[in-house]
Formats: sequence, structure tokens, C-alpha cells
Amino acid sequence: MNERIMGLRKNLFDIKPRICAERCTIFTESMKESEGLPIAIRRANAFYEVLDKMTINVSKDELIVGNQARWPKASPIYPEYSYEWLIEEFDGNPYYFDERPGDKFYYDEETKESILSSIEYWKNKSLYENLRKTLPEEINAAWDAGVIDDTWVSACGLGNIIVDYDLVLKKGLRDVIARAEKRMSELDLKEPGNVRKKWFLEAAIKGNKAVVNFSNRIAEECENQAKDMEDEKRKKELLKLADICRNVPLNPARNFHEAVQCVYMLLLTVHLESNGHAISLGRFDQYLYPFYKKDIEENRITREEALELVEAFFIKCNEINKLRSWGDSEFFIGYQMFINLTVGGQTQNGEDAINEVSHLCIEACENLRLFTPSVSVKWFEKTDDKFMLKALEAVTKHQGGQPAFYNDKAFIRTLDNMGIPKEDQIEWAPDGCIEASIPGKWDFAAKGPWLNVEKVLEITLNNGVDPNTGRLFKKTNRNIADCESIDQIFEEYKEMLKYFMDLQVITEHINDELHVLNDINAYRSSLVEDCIGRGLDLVEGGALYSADGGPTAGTISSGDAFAAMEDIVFDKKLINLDQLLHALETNFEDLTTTPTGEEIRAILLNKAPKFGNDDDKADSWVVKIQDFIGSRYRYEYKSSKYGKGPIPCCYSYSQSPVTGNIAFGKMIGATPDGRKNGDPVNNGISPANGSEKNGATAACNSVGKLPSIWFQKGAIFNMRLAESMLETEAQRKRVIDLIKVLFENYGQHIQFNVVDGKTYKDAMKNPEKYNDLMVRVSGYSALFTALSPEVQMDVINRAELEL
Amino acid sequence: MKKGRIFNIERFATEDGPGIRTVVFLKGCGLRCKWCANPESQSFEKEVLFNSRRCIGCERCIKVCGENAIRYIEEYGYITNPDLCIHCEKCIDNCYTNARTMMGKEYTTEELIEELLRDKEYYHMSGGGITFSGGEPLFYSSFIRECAEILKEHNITTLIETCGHIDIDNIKEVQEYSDYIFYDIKHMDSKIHKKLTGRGNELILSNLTWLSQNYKGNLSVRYPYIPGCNDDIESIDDFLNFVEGLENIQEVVFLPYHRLGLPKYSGLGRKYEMGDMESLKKKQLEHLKVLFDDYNINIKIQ
Repeated sequence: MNERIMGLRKNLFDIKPRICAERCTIFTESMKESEGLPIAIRRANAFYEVLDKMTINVSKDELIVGNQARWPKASPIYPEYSYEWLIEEFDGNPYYFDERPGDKFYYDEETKESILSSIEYWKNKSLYENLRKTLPEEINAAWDAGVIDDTWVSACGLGNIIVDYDLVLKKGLRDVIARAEKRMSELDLKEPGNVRKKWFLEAAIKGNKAVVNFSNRIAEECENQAKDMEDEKRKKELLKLADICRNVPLNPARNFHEAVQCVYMLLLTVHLESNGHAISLGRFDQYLYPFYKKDIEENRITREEALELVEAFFIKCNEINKLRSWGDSEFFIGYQMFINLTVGGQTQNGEDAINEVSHLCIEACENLRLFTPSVSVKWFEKTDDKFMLKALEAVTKHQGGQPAFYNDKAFIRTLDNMGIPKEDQIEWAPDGCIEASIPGKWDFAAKGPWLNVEKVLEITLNNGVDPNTGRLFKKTNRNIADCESIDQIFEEYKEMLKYFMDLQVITEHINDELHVLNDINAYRSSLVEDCIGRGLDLVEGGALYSADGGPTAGTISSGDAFAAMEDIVFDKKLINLDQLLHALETNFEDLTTTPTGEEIRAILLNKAPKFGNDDDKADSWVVKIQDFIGSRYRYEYKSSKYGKGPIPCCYSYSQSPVTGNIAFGKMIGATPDGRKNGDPVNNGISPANGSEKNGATAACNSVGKLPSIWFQKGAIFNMRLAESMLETEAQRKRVIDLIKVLFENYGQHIQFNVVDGKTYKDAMKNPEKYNDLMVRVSGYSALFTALSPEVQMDVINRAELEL
Repeated sequence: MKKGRIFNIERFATEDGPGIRTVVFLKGCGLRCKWCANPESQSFEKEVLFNSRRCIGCERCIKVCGENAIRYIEEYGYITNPDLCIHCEKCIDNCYTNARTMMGKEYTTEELIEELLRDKEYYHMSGGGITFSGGEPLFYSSFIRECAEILKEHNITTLIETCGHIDIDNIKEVQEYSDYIFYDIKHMDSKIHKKLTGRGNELILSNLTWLSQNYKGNLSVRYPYIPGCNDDIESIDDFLNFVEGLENIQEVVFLPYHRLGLPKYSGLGRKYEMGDMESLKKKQLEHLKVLFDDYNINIKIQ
């Protein structure tokens, strides 16, 4: 890190996240004026207006430029998706934005007033409220009971997109505009459906021009600043930046600096068109390397200068922010944007794809210790061990779980099962947390309602009734208390899962219809193949590949619950089923029974097998549940785009709950795995807190048994390593070998938290001392001090493996 | 089929030999080192180890014990009297918080191998394998030999950690099948040795001499560095002089004293003889490398 980067990094930590009203006001005014026009055109016009009128910022010493809001780290507002929570939270309900227990946002009165005044227009129009109005009663009930939850893709825009950076770098938006114009000229408007396509293409052209105009405005700002600049060096830089911004993204990038700036401009503007999160970067090292190589060969740049640019880019990624409702924030704590950046993997020739830019990214990750972008290393059988060691060394310095490691072999098997062609399989990149996407060809790598897997178990054990709300969802065939074997209970559980998975799918069909009506985003769509060719937005089926599926939470906990019931009730008969059900109903607090509720809980926690210990008695239950959910998603359901062009249009399994395992846990009463009412469920496919007892290889063996073929949307495996276990190269080599065995067995992913418990505890007591302490919560890392205390405790309690 | 009495199997061990290893701790030892970090390893009999941090004081253990073997002792907790205990494990099954563990479980060769092979991919990937430790594992030399032969068929290496206080025939029985031997020396003066460990060192030194002349595998000598017992320069000089006179010693490793065994002493109802002495950090021993660099010996600190 040189002095400039240190300064930029420091600024980033000094700035407080704010709320910015500009986008909200400009967008709303434009939408008022365009009423009656097709939605694609209206949103494109509004997008143009926003990019044309919003304040432009170029800060001191910046090498990569562009801003999402008036201030860095400020969040624009997107009232078209939802607004009720804004009114509530500006009123302090449940918290004022700047008094939240996590993810605080600051604002002034003027901002508040402008936003509230824009909101007037959106009443009865927002996507979220219309979804809730349209959904059948039983789905709204399941949503309110915390079994399913679609807030993240209805109260906000759809995200999890990786646009075709490579194409724009090589050909510029000029090419995108030209293709859209050509396609439009070919359309025979007499043919049914073509007028709608024309609207889309017109909107796409307008959107691309909006971005070019925005880039020119930034160039202008640079020129203006240069006029009064006394520092000659900075003056030169500003003029150079102006030149860069006038060339890209309109035209092909001419050098490495332009290429990096172009990627940032695309990333930024996609975030400005809609506020769907997890807009990721794909194979950053692959598409940037040709520019690096050429510049180095022609002596236009030094390695240090290139590293400085990559570091400046990383810092800029942290300026992008998103204000979510508090309810939604609880699922995504940590100011998370889920901007994933991939390095490594293989080339089309099957060779190791590591290049010098891959190295620069690892170094930037290690030097800067930021939570965005999430740096991901794709491993395959020829990946150089030396690079893996370097990445692991970065993990020890970063202390926030980055880089994370991903297995080509496992994801390629999954994508193959989904019918993705061979040549595209190897191009996959993790999007957001861990969802597999094919950059530039896949619409939304994850989308759809969350499913609370252990809540479904609670409802099953209550014969189909949710004990919190008293609602009967679907009566079980048998009375659970009368079940004579664990298999009978499992049959009931599968029926109940089926019921709620059906609701999930219906919800997303309805949500899709509303997005088609209200949420056409032609600019970002035009950067994904084959939206221009088909004249369709991503939500209409424009992309080559598509599969739905929202995150799930609690599969491992449910498996542990079945293992405990089988072992304690049916095999060892330490307690009977009535005793268990009574203990659950009373939250293990009835002390008048024998054994007491507390003792029953201790038996369930300590005497039953648990996932993560290489014990088939527990692991096999997790496998059974995952096979049921995974195969059903894959083969029994179709997404709304089925038959419109994309493949495979099935559902797919995600187990990357971010902090949803805590939010969902709050909705679930006591469960047979020994969880008390409201406790978090397990995170991803990581063993439940405190249940690992046999060390890292046993945990990896358990994970290696799981049917990862179903996990296109990924499954998070967190492992905490004591710092002392990574001190020497010989020790680090052992960890690499551990990863390789896990990956040989089709484990998909692993990430490490390298700190000791003491550091975290001290950080809870003295947050001011740990402004930049990072933690990997699930598929991403966040600032520890930004997390709410209960999430902090969850991190601390996660069993530390003796490595 | 041979059997071994094992009190612990530790997977993903990274400090007991090359690569990723599983360590098998066999029960029973002829020495009684004052600083021993595994007091449960000393007796050949099974023992119940009590963990006060998990105990909630429900006293079910006392209630279910038909032998009246469990007593509450103020400074230790619910301790089993080994003379009365018949190892029925009722108190363990009935302890809902797992505050009691039976130290010592019989494994046949077949049972142990099955357990060890669960991590075979890790051994192969990392050049690791199995470490037999204890106690004094060589009391089970026939068992270890049988296991090591099968492990060899699976291309898995074997390492033995021994204190050397064992009949030479036991060593001869396994040495061909062991790829590595870690051999402990505690003191060169037999009288002091007896004071520190309960036994003289003659057998230990003669066994090491035999190994250095006959053993074909990797032989490493280890020296637990215990303040007040064997940390004086003279003792270390004597030790290194002896080692320098031997052949085939790959390295000498100094092991810094630590007090991690303390809770296990109280869990067995035993007094910890090292008192309040603090654990040493690795860096506190680094100077030994410089101090003794005139020996023609590869010195390491672990």
C-alpha cells in the first residue's frame, strides 16, 4: 500500500454511511412525467435523468472515479420497490436509521423531507405492496410466520447479476448500442410481440447513452478541477482521468487504467439502475490480464502502478452502499453489497488460469483488508500450490475470511447436471456470496423466497400448526405423537417441505409477473447475452441461462434434529416422544418432569450424534434432507421463464444464509437438536455452533458426504482457524492439503476465519479499537464492529477447531 | 486379533510428525514424570476423568453408582475412586452434560484401522500418517506391529513416540515397521532421573544406543525442557554430548514445558506437582539454538 492508497483507505473508514435523496427525487419526478408510457421506456428515461442530474464527485487523489450518491458510502433510495419501512423508520420504528443496532445510516432533516415527499407519489404503487396484495392468503401467512420470505427481491430490485465486462472492454458500449439499433431496425412491427421488443431496445439504447453521458460528466468534473489545480502532478492525473472517462466505456479500453475504470463504471451504473444487490465482477483477472500484459510489454505501466490501480478499484467498490429495511437488514447484516471478484480457475485449454492480475488481486486483498469486493479463488486440479499458499497467507493477514476457496470440479458437475454447455461451464464465477453464474450469460444467479428449513420441522412436529401464530398450514397425515418410527416422522416432514416449497415457487411466479410489469432494466439487460437478440429484459427471459431459488437456512440443524430424535427417542429410548414434544413446547423450561426440560436439552445436545464429526448417524440425515430438497428443486419445479429461451429454468438449492440463520432462528421455537426458542440455526453447511468435536478433517469428511451436485447456488462452509495454526509454511501447507481433499470429494467451498476468541471479545468491549477488524459471517466478510451484538456472539461461539 | 487400550484418538494433529496425522494415545506408562501433561495416560487401568467446567452439580453420577465409588471433593469435584470403580460407565451414560469421560477403551486392530482410515486421503495428500503415542505405546508393541503392517499396505506411514523405558524386545518387535521414532530423554544423571520420573535412565539410554546402531528409519530425540528440573546448561550439555556420540540421529527437539495438563489432574482427583509454574513459549527456548550451536546436531524448538 503506498501513501495514496493508505490515505484513500483511511478516508473510507472515516466516512459515515449516509442516506442520499438525489436519486429518489430525480427518479420520482421523471416517473411522474412519463406516466402512460411503457415501463421499459419510463425507467430508461428516469435512469437517464438520474445520471444526468445527480451530483458528480471526484475526490482527492482518486485514480478510479465515479459515485453512486452525493457522498461516498451513501445509499440512494429506490422507492419504487418499497417505501413503507422508510416512513416507519424515519419515525423511529423499530429504530431510527442512525440508532440501529447494526448497519446504521445517518441523514439530515432535508434528506428525510425530500424522501418522504417523493414517497407520496409511490403510495399504492410499490412492487412490494403489490406483491403482498396479490399473493394468496396462505402465502402471506407463511411469510408472516417466517417460513418463507421474499422481501429481498420484492422490496428491492433483483440482483445477483454479472454483466459481460469482457465484451464491453473489448468493444465498448458503442457496440452494444449498435447491435440494439440494428436489431430494432430488423423488427417487423406488424408481427405480434415486436412492439414490446422495440420498447425494450429503445430503452436499452437510452440506458447505454445515459451511462456514456454520465462518464462524460465525470470527465467534465475532472477537467474543471484540473483548471484550478495548483499541484501539477494531480492536474495531470485529472486531465488523464478526463481523457479516460471520455473514451470508456463508450469505446474499447486502450490500456489497463482504462480497463479498470471501465469495469468500475459498469459496476457502478448497474447499481444505479436498480438496487438489487450481489452485482458481481466475475473473472476479473481473466478479462483484465490482456490489458496488463500489453501495458507491461510496452513499458506503459509498472507492476506497482498496476497494483495501485487494483487497490484503488477495491476501495471504490466499498463506496457502493444499499439501505435496506431493518427487517431485511437482519438477513444481510454488515453493509453488504456482495460484490464478488473471482481469480484463478482454468482456461479454455484446461490450463491453470492464474496470471499476474490474479496475484495483484490477492496482494490488494491482503494489503487493504476490506470487506468488499469478496475475493474468491477458484481451485482446480492444476492450480499451482504456490498460489494457494499465497492466498492462504492473505487469509491470515486479512483476518476476515478472504480470499475464500471454491472448487471448479464440484461446481462444474452441478452446472453439467443443469445442462450448461461444456465451454461455458468452466467460465463460471461465484456471484454474491457463492452462487454460481456464467458471467454475461446468466440472469439472476439467485432469486426467490428464503425457506426456513427448520421452521418447517417445527410446524411438522406440531401436526401442521405454527405454534407462534396458531395457524394451521397443512395437517400432517399422522399425529406426530403417534409416530412409531423416525421414518414416519421424516415422511411427514417431507410432505410439509413439499407444501412450503410449492408456496415458494408460486410466490416467485407472482413476483416475476410484477417485475415484468414494473421493473424493466434495459441497460443491464443489454449487457447480458441474448437480451438484445431476443428483445427481452432479463426478467422476461432474455438471458441464455436462468434458474430460480432463494437462500435456505437450517438444513444442518434439521438433520441434527432428526439424528437426535432417532438416537435418543427411538434407539436408546432415553426419553419417549411425548416427553420430547412436551419439552419442545415448554422450551426446555419445565422443571417438574423427569428428566426435567433442562436435562432433556442436555441429553439432546450432548448425547446425540451431530453433523460435522464424520459420524454417519448424523451426516446421513443431512444428506437425506438435502437430497429431498435438492432433487425436488432440480426436477419438480419450473421457473416462470421456462420455454421463453433460457435454460434450464428449474429451481436450485442455496445454503448461503448470510445472517438469515439468525433472523430465521428468531421465528423458530425449541427444536430436537437442542436449540432453544429464538436461537440461531446453523450457518450454511457449517456444523451448528459448538457441535464440532473431532477436528477439521472430520468436519471436512462430513461436508464431503453432502450431495453438492444440487447446490448451484452454493453452500457456505466456514472454518475458524487459530492464528497459531498458520504460522509456518509447513502448517499452511497442511491446510492447503485439507482443502484439496475436501475438494477432491466435491466439497464446493471453504472459508477461514483466522482470529482468536479473545480478539473478538475485546472488540465487543472496545469497538473503537477495532475499526477495521473483519469477520467472515457467511459467504462474505464484514466489519466486526458493524455487526449487532447477537451476530457478534454467534461469531464468537462458533466452535474453534483445534488445528 | 491383538488389542490396545486407547484413551484418545486425535485427528488432524499437526505437531506430531510430518503432514496431517492421527495420533493414537495408548494407556499406561512405566515412568511418572512430574510434569506429565497426560496424567490419564499413566495407569494401565481405565479411569473416569471429570470435567468441572461441564458439570452442573446434579449428582446423578453419585446416585447411579452401585459401588459408592464417587465422592465430592471440594477442590476437584465429583471424583471416582479407582479402587472401587468397576468401569460400568453408568455414571457416564447418566451424565447429561458429558462432564465424565472414560479414559481407556479397548480397540481391536480391525476397529482401530477402520477408524484411522477415515482420514487416509489426508495422509496421502500431505505425506502424513499415524502416530502412536501414550503413555508408553511400546507396551502394546504386538498391537502396533499388527496395525503398522496393515497401514503399510495402505501406504500410510507410522511414527512411534516413546519414552524408551521399555524392554528392548518390544522395540525390536516394531522398529522395522515404524517409519519414524521420536525418542524422549529427560535427564542424563540416573539419580536425578529417578527423582524426576520414578525410574533410573539406564534402560532408556541403552535402548537409544541400540536404536541408533540398528534402526533404519528416521530417529529424532526429544528433550522436554522443564525449568528447575533439567534446564541447566550442564544437564543439557551432558545430553547433547551423549546424542552427538550416537549415529543416525536426525535432530534434537526441545519441547517447552506447558501446564495444559493441569485440569486433567484435578479431574482425576490428583495434585499437580508443578505448582504455579507458567507455561513456556517457543521463543523462550530459541536461545538454545545459539547456545549449543557448536554441537554437530540439528537443534529444533517445537
